[in-house]
Amino acid sequence: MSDYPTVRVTADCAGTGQCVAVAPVIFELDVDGFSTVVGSVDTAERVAAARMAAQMCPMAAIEIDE
Amino acid sequence: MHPGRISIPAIEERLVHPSFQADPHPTYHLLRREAPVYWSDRKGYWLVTGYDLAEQVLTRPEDYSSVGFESRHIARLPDEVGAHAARVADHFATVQLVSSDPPNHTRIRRAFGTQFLPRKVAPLADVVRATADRLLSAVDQDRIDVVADFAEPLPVEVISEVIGIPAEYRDRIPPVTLDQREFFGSPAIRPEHAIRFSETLDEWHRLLTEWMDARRLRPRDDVLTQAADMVDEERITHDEAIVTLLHLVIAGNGTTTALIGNAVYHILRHPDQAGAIMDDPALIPNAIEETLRYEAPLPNDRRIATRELTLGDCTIREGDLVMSVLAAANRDPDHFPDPDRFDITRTFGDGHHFAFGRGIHLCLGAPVARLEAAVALEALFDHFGRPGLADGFEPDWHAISTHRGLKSLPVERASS
Repeated sequence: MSDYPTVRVTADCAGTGQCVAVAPVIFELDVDGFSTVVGSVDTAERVAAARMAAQMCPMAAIEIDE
Repeated sequence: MHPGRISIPAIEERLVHPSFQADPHPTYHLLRREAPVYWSDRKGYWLVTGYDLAEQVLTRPEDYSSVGFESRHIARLPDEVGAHAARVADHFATVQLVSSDPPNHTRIRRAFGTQFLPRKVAPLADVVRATADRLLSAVDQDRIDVVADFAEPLPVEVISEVIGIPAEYRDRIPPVTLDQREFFGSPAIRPEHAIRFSETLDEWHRLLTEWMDARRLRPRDDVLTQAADMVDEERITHDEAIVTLLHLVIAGNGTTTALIGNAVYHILRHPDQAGAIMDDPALIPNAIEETLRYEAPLPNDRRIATRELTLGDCTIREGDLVMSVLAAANRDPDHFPDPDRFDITRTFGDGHHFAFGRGIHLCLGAPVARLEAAVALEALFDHFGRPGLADGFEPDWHAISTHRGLKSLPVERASS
């Protein structure tokens, strides 16, 4: 219950913006157009959103360490 | 209780009626309300018309696979055609972007993905503008066909620049695009069509192989060079490189032609909005997004169920073909208020449109298409002022089963 997973965007990101579309509270595109984690993943709802983003990423560039 | 395949006669009639071709949206709205997951006997697939349901299908590749559509299509051809389709079957059996699932899809996507980063394609704007200016100057009359004179040739030139196709071979791109579209979309394929498509594929395999070899000696900043590098690094095979390159060539032109034509048509149908764009060209990118939502160039995205699945209230059988109707999801009133209104100032927020698909198969070339369509419209309005639709113009659309685009779009220079 207490531990939430760590979410990170790997170097495979191609800036497709799918993660930003499904989880705008967690991901943003930076000035270079790559995704970056900006929001905390500290509720069940946000964990679900992060997983959805990981599932939707064309480059499989979102890693979630349980 | 989950109903399986139940076709409704009144809806079956509507799906094949000429009025559906002219405007499918009354039927899509009816389906979304009454049967958002609907099995059509006549079409032989499920139509998924709700936004959330279409999203479920497109974001679960383990349940809804992208593999196998082409081989099934070829297996079901009449014998006299199938006998000549071995070459085509072989081409489409090779792993490529659109017809693959993870992990193969991820491997191919990563090999090419960096070539289509928005900031990577941004410098293309100059090439697009110069090409658009050249095409428009060549037909600088008081009346042009936006489709034939402009929206067809422009994307061929642009995708050729991106991939690295030599100028003298670019006239081969429209025929192979048409061949592929007809082979998989036309109801009556003849043996000679399969033979011709096979010969065309052979020719493209030979040419693309030659060009990749040329890049190994003299690398350039293009996708052919990237493809050769990826093969040499053993991240993809030679055949995977070839089929993916040809797929990018084909996918990169017909859809963009439709997008440009659809955008010009709908903007000109709404004089107030055309006027707003003339006053402020900065509205063009959002007008392109609204066109993508309102009249998506690819209305359907197909998947095949990998096992028995429950979708909405329905039970999908293993092996069933499932069409996410992107054009219908794009007009779901739960996500787009007043969905049948074309509004270039619409704000999309979190509920973005489905025109480029959703999830892992999201259109690789989307950044190119967006940039190209926006620059094309700027150039067109610069050359023509605010054109008007030709007197008495009635839209004639390509068959919606393949793509949604106008066959022609005559416009006239505004009389001043």
